[in-house]
Amino acid sequence: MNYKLFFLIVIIICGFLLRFIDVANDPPGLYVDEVSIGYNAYQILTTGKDEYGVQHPLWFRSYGDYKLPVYIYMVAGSMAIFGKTEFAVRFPSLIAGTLTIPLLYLFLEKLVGLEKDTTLKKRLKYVPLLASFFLAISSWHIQFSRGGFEITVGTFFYLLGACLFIMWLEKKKTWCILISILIFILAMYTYHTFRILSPLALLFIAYKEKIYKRSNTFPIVLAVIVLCLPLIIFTLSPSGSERFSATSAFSQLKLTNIWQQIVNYPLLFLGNYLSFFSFDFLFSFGDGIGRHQIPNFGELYRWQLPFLLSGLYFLLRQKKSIYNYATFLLLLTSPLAGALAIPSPHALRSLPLVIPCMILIAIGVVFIIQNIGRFRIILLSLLIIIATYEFFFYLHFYYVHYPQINQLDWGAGYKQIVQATAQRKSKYIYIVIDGVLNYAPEYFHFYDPSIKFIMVNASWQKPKKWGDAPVLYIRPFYGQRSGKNLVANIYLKGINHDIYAQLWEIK
Amino acid sequence: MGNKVTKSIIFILSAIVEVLTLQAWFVCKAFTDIFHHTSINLVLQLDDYIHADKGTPILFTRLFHNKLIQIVFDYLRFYLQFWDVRFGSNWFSLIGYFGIFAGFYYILANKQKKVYHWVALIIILLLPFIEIIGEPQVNIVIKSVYLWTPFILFSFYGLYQFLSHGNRTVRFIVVLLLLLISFLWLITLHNGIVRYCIMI
Repeated sequence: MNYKLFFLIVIIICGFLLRFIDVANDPPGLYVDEVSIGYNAYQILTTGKDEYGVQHPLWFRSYGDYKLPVYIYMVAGSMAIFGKTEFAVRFPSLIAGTLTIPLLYLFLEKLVGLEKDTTLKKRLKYVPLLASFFLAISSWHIQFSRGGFEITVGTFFYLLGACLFIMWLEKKKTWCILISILIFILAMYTYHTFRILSPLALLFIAYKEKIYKRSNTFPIVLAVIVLCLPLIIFTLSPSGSERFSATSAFSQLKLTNIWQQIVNYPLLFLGNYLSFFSFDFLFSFGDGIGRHQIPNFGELYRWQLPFLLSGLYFLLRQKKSIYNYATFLLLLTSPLAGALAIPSPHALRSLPLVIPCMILIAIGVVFIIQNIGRFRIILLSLLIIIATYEFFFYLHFYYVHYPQINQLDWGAGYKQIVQATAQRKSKYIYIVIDGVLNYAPEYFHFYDPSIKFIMVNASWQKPKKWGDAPVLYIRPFYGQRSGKNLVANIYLKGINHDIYAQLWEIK
Repeated sequence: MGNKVTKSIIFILSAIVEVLTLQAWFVCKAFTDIFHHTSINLVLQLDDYIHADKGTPILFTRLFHNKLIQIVFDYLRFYLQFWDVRFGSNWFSLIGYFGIFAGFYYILANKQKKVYHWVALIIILLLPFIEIIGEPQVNIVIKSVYLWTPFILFSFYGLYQFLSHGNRTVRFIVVLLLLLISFLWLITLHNGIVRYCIMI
C-alpha cells in the first residue's frame, strides 16, 4: 500500500475517534440551539412540519432568529437511523468534521499538482499529509465537530467547493465547476457565515473564469441566481434581517450621522477583522465563550505558534505560487463574515479559518525541518515531545475539567429537570416553571413533549381558582437547601454537588 | 531624490501618528494585570485545577498541573499580549505595528545578516520581559522610553525596508493608506486602550 494512503487512513481513524468517543455526553449536555435543531428535525421526520406547524420549511424559526435548513434536515435523516438522541443531533457535524480531514488532504494534493515550480513542489510534498494530521488533532476543529454546530458542515461544503474548483482548474471537466458552484450554494443554506463567504467564492470563480466575457455561461449564471433567490429574498425580509440586526457590530455604535458612519463603520470592521488574528484569540484565551473552547486554551496549540509564523514567512516569499494564493485567499476571507458581527473574535463564525491555519502550520513545520540541517533530529524529537504533551494536556482538560467547569454553557441541568419531572408528572395537575429557566420549554419539547407546563415569572403565586390541586413548581436554586415541600434537587456534575434547580410541591 | 523626500514625509507623518498614539496613554497609571507576573497566584491556580481532578490518577495530576508548566503557560500568555494586534495597534498605532512585522520579515529575509541585525532582533524579542518581570507601577512616560522607543525605531526600519523593495508606488500608497487608517483609528476608536490600562 502507498505509504501516504496508509498514513492518511491512520489520520482519518484518529480524527474520527477524537470526534466520536463519548460525543453524546461530552460536551456535557445539549445546549439550547442543539435542542432546538433536534426538536425541529424530529418534527420534520415524524410530521413533515416544524415546531410552528409549517410544512417542510426553508427557514426554521428559533430563539430570536431563523435557522438555515441544511443541518436540520441532516439531523432528521440522522434521527431516522439513531432515534431522537443527543448522538443523532451531533452526528452530521461529527461526520462532516471527520470528512474534512481527507478533503483537506485532497485539496492540498491538487494544489501541489498545480504548482509550476518543481523545487517548490518537492518541498511541499509532505504538507497535505501533515496539514490533514494537524486538522485531525486541532482542538478548534474537534470542539465544533463534537457539537451540533452547522458551521462544521458548512466548512466541509466550503472546502469541498474549493476542492472541486481546483479539480476544474486541473482537469477542465465541466461537472467539477458545476458541482463546485452547487456546493458553494449549499454552504450558503447551511450557516450564516457562508452567506458572505460563498458569494465571494462564486464571484472569485466568475472573475477567474471570465464569465462576463462568455455568452455560453448565461444559463449557469441564471441557475445560480435562481438557486440563491430564496436566500436573497429571505435576507432582505424583516425575519432575515432580524439576525443581522441582533448580531451586527454596527448597530451597537448607534450612529445616525452618515459621515460618522462612513468613518466609523470601516474602522470598526477593521478592528473586528484584525481581532481574529490576535495571539490572544489564537493561543491564549480563544473568544471566551465556554462552548467554543476549553477555558485558558486558545484556538490553536501553543507549540504551533512558531510554525504558523514561519509558514507565513515562507509563503510570503513564494510570490508566484498557487499555494500562496489559495492559502492567503482562505486566510484573509475566512474572518470577513465574523468581523461584521459581535462579539468579535468569534471562534464559531470563523471556523473556516482553521483550514488556512493548519496549512500554514504544516508549511512552517516542513520549512523549518528542511532548513535546520544538522539539528533536524533534535528539533523533530523536541517538537514531537512538546506537541504530544500539549495534546494530552488538552485531552485531560477536555474530558476531566471541561464537563465540570463549563457544564452550564451546555445547558446542563435542563435534561435532569425534564427527567425528574417526567417521573412525577402523574401526581400533579399543574406543572409550573420559573421563567428564569428560560430555555426549559425547548428541553421539555425535545426530551418529553407529553409534559404540559406553564412558564411564570419569579413573583408567581398560585391562583386561587386552582384550589387544592397539587402543583409542581420548578425553579432555580435560590439558596434554600431543604424544606418539607421540596420534592427533588437537581444537582450539577462535579465534586461540589452544586444544586442547579429544585422541584417544589405547592398545595 | 523624489523618493527620498516622499520617504521622509512618510516617516515624519508616521512619527506624528505614533507619538499621538502614545500620548493617548498618558491618562494611564499602569498597564493592567494581563502583562505582569505579579498577577499570577500559582498556588491558587493549581488548587483550582487539582480540585477538578478527583478520581484522576495522581500521575496525570502531577504531569498536567505543576508549577513549571503553569509558569511556562502564564509567561507565554503575558509575552504574547505584547505582540497581539489589538494591543499593538493601540500602543504603537496600526502603522507602527505593521512596521514592526515588516522589520522582522526583512531582517529574516536578509541573506547577509549583520551583527546589528541579530542584536536588534534579540533586543526587540526580549524587551517585553522588562514589563513582565519588572515593577508594574512605573510611570507610563518612563515606560515609553524603554518599551516604546525601541519598537518604534524597529518599526521605522521595517517601513524603510518595505518602501525600498518591490513596486514602490504601490507600497507608498499602502503605507499612506495605513497612515490614514491609523490616524482615523486614533481619533475615532480612542477607547481601545481601556482593556490594557489602569486610568489615573
